[in-house]
Amino acid sequence: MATAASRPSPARWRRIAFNAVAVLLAACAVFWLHTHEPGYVERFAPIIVRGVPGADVAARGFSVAIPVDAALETGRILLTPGITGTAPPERQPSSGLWLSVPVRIEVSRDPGRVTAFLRDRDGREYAATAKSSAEPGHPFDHGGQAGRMFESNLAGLSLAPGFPASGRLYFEVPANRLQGLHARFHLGPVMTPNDNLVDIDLGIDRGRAEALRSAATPELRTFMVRGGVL
Amino acid sequence: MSAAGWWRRQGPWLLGAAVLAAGAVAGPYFDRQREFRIQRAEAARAVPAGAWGRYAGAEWRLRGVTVQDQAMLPRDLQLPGNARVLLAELEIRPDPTAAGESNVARCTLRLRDGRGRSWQSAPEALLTYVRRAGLALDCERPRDRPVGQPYVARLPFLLPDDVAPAALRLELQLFPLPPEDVEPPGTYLDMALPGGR
Repeated sequence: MATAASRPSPARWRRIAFNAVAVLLAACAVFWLHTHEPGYVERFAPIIVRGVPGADVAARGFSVAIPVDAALETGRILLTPGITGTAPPERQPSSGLWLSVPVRIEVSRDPGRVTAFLRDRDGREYAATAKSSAEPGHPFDHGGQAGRMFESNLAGLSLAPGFPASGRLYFEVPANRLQGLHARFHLGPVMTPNDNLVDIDLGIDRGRAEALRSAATPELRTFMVRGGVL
Repeated sequence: MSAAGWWRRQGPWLLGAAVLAAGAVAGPYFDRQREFRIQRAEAARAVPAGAWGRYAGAEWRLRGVTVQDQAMLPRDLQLPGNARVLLAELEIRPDPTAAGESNVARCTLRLRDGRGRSWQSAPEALLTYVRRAGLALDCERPRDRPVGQPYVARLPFLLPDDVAPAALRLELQLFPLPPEDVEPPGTYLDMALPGGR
């Protein structure tokens, strides 16, 4: 009787083995869950919505398109409108290049502003140059040109649903960083966790980068002057 | 050892595990529900068309709306081709207390359509028009009106022409939010437009 009690029965061994396997499996599951838990970056990182030029890229709250019928342009000095009509345009020379990207932006839900920047192959980012504070349509009379001034720069423009805005964005980029640039857009001045970030590859390969560098105009204007009475 | 015996012996543990599992699911669920309530979902205070609504130490009434097509607007405003202006006449009866008066001026107004799109009052594109036509930028009492008296604020909205005014509702909220002892956080007035839904 005493020997039978001190030596566990095969059924008891089976139970112990079963429990041990169950505990091991549970520990493996806990370990796997722990190692695969989304990290801080994954939980709060933006959700990237990728697109190509020519396509309307729809993200949460807004959509962006880079029209292919309008070309990328480059220049060495950026000309922005002066505050008053008779003031000369402001000149911003660059040691690199000014890159002008055509865009069409529309907010689809609430009014707001879209922030845009370029990202190069090494992850460096270049913010779009802010629109001048000159009022659109203000009279312009300078350098033999007279009319009303309208800015093509859309950076920081206040947008509302149903009113798509077409224009351009202007970025200052080092001359050797054109290749592989992506344009990125998000809603609002700062990104909140898991915000949609639209990423459009501008499709600048080595040859096109070279062409853009050699085609750089001395002066790139962010505005146009329309003559006549409105 | 029968299977029934095993279940009986493990009963209390299984029950405990079931209670813990239910708690683990229900806890975060109710937490989120509370957050949603604070954020928005149940914060709307509906006001029928033409009726007075009480909010943040004042009474509010949407007296009427006027739609102005491009033909009725000055040409040099440079508005988009599909734009039209909707003027909302908001009647405000502030409580005759200092707190009531100071609260109401900071109103933000939004028109929202059935698809969830919204438009803010006095957008940048209309600032020139606001200045010229003597319209309001917010719900502040006009300087020529005595303190404590009801007054009317005429606020312009810029809408695309594919939106029917009947499909819109006016959302009114003070920003920054009124103190918590005046209104629960997130509360806003959800006003029907005359002849609207």
